[in-house]
Amino acid sequence: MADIKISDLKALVVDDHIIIRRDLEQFLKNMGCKHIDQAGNVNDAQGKMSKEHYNIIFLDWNMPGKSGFNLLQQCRANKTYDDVAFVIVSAESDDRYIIEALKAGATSYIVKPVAESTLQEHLQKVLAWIGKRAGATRQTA
Amino acid sequence: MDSIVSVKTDVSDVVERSVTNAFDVMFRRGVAKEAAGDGFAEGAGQEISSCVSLWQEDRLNMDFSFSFDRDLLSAIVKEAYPQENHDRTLLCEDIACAVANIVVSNVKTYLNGRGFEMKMNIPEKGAAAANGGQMAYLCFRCDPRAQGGRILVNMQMQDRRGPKAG
Repeated sequence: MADIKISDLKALVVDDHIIIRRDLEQFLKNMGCKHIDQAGNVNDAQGKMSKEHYNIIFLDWNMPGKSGFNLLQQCRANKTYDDVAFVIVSAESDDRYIIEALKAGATSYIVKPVAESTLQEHLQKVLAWIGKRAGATRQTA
Repeated sequence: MDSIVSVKTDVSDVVERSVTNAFDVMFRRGVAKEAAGDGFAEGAGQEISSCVSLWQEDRLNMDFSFSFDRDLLSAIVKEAYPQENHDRTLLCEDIACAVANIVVSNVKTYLNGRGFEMKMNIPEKGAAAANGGQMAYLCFRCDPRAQGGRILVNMQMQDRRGPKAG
């Protein structure tokens, strides 16, 4: 398993709420992440994803226009995003949503409101996932 | 499935817990429920509102109208997002919508766990108050020692089913 540091990661936060994007960005900065971009909707996110390869994408489920879940499904059907961790950050607290997201390939699921400590816990698991993927990719290559 | 009226108290409890938790986690501010008083004076611009609906196909409609003291949200914006370049009013409205979204999502999860198949409409900024039968009216105060800081939640319900035949 490759050793991945949070300072090496490129992150994208996709949420229609400015304050949620701002909070997640601040928490990630506090944890040492240096490269964080924001998108207010799926179209904006796709534009950014076409120019930059992110390691981790935080996705709101319900957004006006295309949903974050839709973007997750689309990305998981595309090998380009095999090594990208998708973390759903949603107010949907129903287990059915969580299971559906994980089945669709979400790496983790965080229920809003998000505390910094909660994000940190999830990020540890996500870093391990990214490390495993990076190790597997190196072995295949 | 229970009747919606029988879970009215539980729904109020879910709203209370969710409002308290949202303000604690997001803004580190304590919120306490208090006896329902008067609403904000109409047209005085004292409040920022958001409205979220839950609906069950052809049957039931629940509207949740949230009114937040404008000064409270402005203070939160000033304190929590001092560097943010966006318009301050926009940020206040964003907070109102985000909190409403979180609270009503929790209500939806609770109701669906009791057999209701409710769906949620995405909150609208500054949406008008709902117009159904009164279900509950809750009043909270952020920092109970202060004069302002009120948060009002008005829950209204419309049962669209007609009277049972026979």
